Amino acid sequence: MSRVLCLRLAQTVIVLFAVSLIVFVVLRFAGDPVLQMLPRNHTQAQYDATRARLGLDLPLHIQYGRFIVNAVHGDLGTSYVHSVPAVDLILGKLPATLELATAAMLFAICLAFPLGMLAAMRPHGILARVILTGSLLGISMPTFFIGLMFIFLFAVLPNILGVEWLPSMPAGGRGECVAILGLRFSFLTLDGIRHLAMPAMTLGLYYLAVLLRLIRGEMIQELNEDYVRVARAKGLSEASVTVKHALRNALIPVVTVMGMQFGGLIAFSLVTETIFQWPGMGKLLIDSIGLNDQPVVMAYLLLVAVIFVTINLVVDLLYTVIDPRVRVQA
Amino acid sequence: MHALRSLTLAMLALATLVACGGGESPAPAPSPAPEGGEEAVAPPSAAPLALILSQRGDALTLDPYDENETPTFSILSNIFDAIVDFDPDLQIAPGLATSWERVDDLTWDFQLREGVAFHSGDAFTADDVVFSFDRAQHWEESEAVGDILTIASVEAIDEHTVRFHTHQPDPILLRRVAQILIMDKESTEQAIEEHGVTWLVEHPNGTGPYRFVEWIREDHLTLEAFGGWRGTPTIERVIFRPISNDPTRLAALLAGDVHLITDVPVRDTDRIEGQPNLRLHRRPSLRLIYLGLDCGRDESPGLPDSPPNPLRDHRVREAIHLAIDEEAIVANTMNGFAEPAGQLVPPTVFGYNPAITRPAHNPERAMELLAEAGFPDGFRIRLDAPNNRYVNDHRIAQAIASQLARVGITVEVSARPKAIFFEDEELGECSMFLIGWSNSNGDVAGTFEFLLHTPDEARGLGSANSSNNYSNPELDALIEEAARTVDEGQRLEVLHRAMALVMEDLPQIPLHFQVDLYAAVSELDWTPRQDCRLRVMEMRWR
Amino acid sequence: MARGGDSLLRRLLRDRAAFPAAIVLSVMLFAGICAPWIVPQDSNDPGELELWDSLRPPIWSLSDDDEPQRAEGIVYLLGTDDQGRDMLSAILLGLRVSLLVGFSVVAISSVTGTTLGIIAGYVGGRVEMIIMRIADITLSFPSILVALFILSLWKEGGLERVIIAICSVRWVAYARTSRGCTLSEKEKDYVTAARALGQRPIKIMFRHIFPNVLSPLAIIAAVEIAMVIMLEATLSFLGVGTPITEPSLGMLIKNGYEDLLSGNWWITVFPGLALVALVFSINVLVDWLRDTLNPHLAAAAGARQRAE
Repeated sequence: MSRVLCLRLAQTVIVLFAVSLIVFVVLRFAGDPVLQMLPRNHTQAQYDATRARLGLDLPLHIQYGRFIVNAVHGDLGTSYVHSVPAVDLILGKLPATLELATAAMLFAICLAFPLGMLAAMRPHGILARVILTGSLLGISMPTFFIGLMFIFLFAVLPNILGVEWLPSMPAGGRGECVAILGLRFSFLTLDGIRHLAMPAMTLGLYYLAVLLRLIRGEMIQELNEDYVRVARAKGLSEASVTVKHALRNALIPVVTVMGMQFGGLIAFSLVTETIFQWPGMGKLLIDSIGLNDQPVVMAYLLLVAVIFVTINLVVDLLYTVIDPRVRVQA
Repeated sequence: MHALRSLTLAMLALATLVACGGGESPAPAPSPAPEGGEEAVAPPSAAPLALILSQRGDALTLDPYDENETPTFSILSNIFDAIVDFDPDLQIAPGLATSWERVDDLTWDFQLREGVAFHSGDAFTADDVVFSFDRAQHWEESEAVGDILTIASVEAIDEHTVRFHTHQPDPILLRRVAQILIMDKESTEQAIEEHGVTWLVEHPNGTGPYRFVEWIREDHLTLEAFGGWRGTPTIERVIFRPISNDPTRLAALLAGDVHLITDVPVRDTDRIEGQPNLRLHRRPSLRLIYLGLDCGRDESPGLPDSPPNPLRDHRVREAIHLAIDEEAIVANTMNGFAEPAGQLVPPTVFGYNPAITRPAHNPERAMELLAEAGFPDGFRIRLDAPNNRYVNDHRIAQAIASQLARVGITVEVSARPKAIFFEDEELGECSMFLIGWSNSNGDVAGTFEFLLHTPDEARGLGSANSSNNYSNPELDALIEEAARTVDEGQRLEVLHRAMALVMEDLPQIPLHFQVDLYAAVSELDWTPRQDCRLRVMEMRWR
Repeated sequence: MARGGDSLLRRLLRDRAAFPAAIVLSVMLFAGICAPWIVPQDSNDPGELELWDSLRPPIWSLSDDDEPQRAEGIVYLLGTDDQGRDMLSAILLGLRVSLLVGFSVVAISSVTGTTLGIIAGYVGGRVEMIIMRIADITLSFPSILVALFILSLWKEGGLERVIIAICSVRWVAYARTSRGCTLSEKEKDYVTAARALGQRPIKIMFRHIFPNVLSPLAIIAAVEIAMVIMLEATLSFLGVGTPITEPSLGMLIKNGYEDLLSGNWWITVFPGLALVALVFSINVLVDWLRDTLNPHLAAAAGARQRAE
């Protein structure tokens, strides 16, 4: 087992190196950072000085070496636009993104369990069909369109087109924040929650649909198992059977998938953040691409790579533990 | 499951609460309480605690020479002073200098205000001015260099007198020095030594009416009135809250989250005018939106069939001018909030030539001209434009493509984010490009010197002429003559001739001047400035 | 599979969800393919647009104070956008672009991915490691990020570029599945027998293994079409997709985004509804197909990878 672990770890490090190399090379050839930093009417001398200061006149392999050494020390370069370390900039946005992703996950979980179980209890009932069709619709709507429809329904119709019976919500931005341990969160103020509601639902809807379908599938399987029949035969109430026995057993795969999806939630929040002007990491990435702020784009991609490679590693290892037949090949 | 169920119920209850709480809140939301327990002095009557302003962008930096763009400068102009100031109409006014005199053609003396202190407590002296100009000119990342190219050196005569030496007689020196905000020598040098230059990005120390309090990037930036300032600002506390999306920013104003917004979407002005508690503020801008045309290269990157480059033919440029229906663009794309341009600057700028008028839209004549020039079937060209810089920039580009298509010119619009577009334009990658320019110092000379003079790096001329590739010795001579002429009347006459020459030759096709649109709660008494800066000391509650 | 096409069709006709979905999808396919010949206005030709007719609401919500239309010979059924584009024409042409992207990406990436996956699974060793490591690198980022990154390097969008960018992230699903199937098929007796008989690897891979991975791959491909269409729409919405002069449905939605907040809802809502109808009908059919062809696979429905 430990040999497998070491092998996988080594592979993960290689993958991260490969990613960093690709990101590094590609960004180096995608435009001239010196031009970005200098004013419009700079002189050649100014250009050369800045280039030398950034170390861009060195051979590429030395530049890459420096980049890696710095990266290991947590320094992924300084933003051309904001003149502060890119990592600080990104991590500064992390609380907002985490807050959004957590809220979206909570929203998805809170609805997915009751709905999924309802759909499993009478798999051919009308309610189950409605829930399933709804979840399929949820999967069929791109996040950005869900966001736009929320804005249309709860911001444009009531505020702009004067439809009074619809509740009015803010079209974007983050509400009032409260600092906890130096990090700023908005879910503790009413204004903050009003701003959080629509983006969280937008981001969470897809996961709600995925989770709901998964829970339903697992529950149907569990409810057909022998032990459930025995429990029923013993005269236990339907609710007790469903919850105490079937749900508990269905939970393991569901929780695994939920854990896997959370990383994705953070990354995918970039679309939601863009639509709702949510000041998180994803919006920073889109803004930085628009501003051609290469160090920030690079740092973001590397950070996300680390997150995802780690998740993949953990999942693969879990797989090995669960099913020894799947042997990890060197 | 019980826990789960109650959690679900709680969430639903919360959602209902949130949804219901949305209906009414016309009053501006209370601002976050000041940190550190130090309560801000409450302004008179029911005025809100802090004024909340929302611009399109956050400050990029608070180091005054690091970036040169409007939202950043708007904020900085509250924290810092310059030695010479502009009034709201861009007329020269005293700043940190109370008076000045021209000693000779190349020398100016400025008498500095006494008893002024920086926010850090350091006293303001002539050394700070010398230091600031030195840093603005010689720090390798300074964006302010271009504003003060004519200055040869600055020296301190005594504690409250500075002397400027220029390379050549400079008729607009006062307008140039007004662009340089003054930093504190002592604390700045110490900060660079101890923490490195990036420290300055988040720790501004000026002499201005407002003192820096805190900055959470992309969220808010708070300033408070500086007691040691020479005037008395009536607004104690001000928060800049950036909202980059235009409609979202407007929605924030409508919801009462902010008090003043910049860049109101042109289509949404009716909505503000229909609200009794809101007021639309408009001011014709100095910014010209124009088409630059590559008049130099025979093989040009945006012309797939070049050589030849049809744009080198004066008749083709005139045909493009006549084919564009600016009236339709102003009426539809700009919803009336723009002024069609007949030359490169509006009447309020020094150098405007009243004798020039805009020719009427005339597609038939345009087609004749194209045929005369040897392009009866038109040609193919790429039109480069930014898509997040000017009001409806990419939409204007599309409208132009549509209008040029009708005289046979096939235009492929390439609208990209501003950073990418500007880099390409700078590298000379464009043949026809939609771009804007304004002379924030109120004088036309900048347009000619940067955009249209034959490139001459040593003298800093023609530095923004890389895609336009325009070179006209006759115009160069006029530009240089104007730069030497100190007599205002004579200089104006030279500038008129230069403008007439440019509008005859058409290296650029002027489209329109933007109108700056702001909206604010009606209790706020304020008049927009010509330079688009939000100076809080010019605002007061009614 | 053994049930045959005729019975499958009959089952489709009987299904209350799948049959309407099939009709919607057929109509949209037809409209998309024939769009250039049936649209009222060639909205991709800038010369056809009339700026004075911009931002007209759909025909049923026109009011008396709306200015009379300037262009003759056309009825703006679903209104116009800020350039005077007829929205109905733009949606039909946009549908065509979205379908084109969806089908070409699935065609290219399924062939590439399956080939790589079977080779990896059958050959094993270093070849497998390299292929699966590349797949891992690709998977270590969400598709949307990789595609966004590739497209942002080109500095401008374009149909071929969008297709290449999406292909470069979506081949992995086929590769992983076909490798997995190959691994389990490889152990089975018939392959061992074929190998013992001395058949060449290529023949074994494509004669024996390929038919067995086909059925899961077909389902993946069908799901992928919907996903790729959504991914392309999202990329366009983020501003790195198809050019505005040849807009896909996603680009049309993006184009109307700011107008939506100004109350001009039709520019965003109609292309959006078209997109959702397209993706939804594909998904309903895929679900039905999966249930019908292989009931055992139904449970795996929840474990889909997200495309966006």
